Amino acid sequence: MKIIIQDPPPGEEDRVIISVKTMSERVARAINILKSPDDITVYDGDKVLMLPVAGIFYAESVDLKTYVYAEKSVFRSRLKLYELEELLVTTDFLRISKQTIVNVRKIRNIAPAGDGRFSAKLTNGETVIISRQYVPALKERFGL
Amino acid sequence: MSQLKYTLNRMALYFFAITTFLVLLESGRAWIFGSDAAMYVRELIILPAFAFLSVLPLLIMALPMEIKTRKHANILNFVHYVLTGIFVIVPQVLWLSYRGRDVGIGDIPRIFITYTAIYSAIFAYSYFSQLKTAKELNKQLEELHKE
Repeated sequence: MKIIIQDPPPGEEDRVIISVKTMSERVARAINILKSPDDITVYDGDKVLMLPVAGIFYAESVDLKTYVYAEKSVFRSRLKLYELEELLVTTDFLRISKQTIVNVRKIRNIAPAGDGRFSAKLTNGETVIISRQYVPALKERFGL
Repeated sequence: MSQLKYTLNRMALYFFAITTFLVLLESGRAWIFGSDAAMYVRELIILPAFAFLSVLPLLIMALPMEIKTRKHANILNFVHYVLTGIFVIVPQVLWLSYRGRDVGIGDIPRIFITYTAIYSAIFAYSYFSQLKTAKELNKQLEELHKE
């Protein structure tokens, strides 16, 4: 497959044109990645912010509210956790328990936590629990 | 539904805390004031309390514990383990009662040791059987971080 990258004409916005005869899985994956958002809208009190997806460590649902955790700060999202999960489905996020999705690129290491669960230490020092029922999905994600 | 489960968990936590407090209080009273009080404890407090508690863990364990939040995880895990322990305590208490013995403070260490031994064995088996998976996952994580 030939890949051409060129500068857009002056005054025009960036665009990606995909020219294929058949839609292969690789191309579909590339499209998904391109469609995935760079930022999501979060709230810090009354302030509305755009948070880069790559900077999110994990998101959790607490008492029906969704909180998004960056390296050292916590924001509120108005999306339900499953909506956030759907939005980030093409990114590196993975559901690890009924109330948590985590950015797998932010996991430093994984250790057994007993009872079939694992604990994942994140690069910011926080620890999240991977529930027993989501361990198979994690293994599948890593091709195990 | 998750709100209901969360509420049930909290109810279990409060109930367990209150019952434990009452049992310890009454056991202490029995220990200080003699066997009449001990009989009162066994008939009116301990057996009904444990009988109820023996059903409660079944209910709680049937519910997914993932509803707990990260901040409550440690507390609720502890409650989960304690409730599991009741499966060990209840038969012992009922057995002692069946044999006609009063259940008192002196039985606590034996029950505690039995519980600790059984739970430690289960936990150790679970932990070591997960180590291999954890190693494989960490290897894949390393490769992911190299990309």
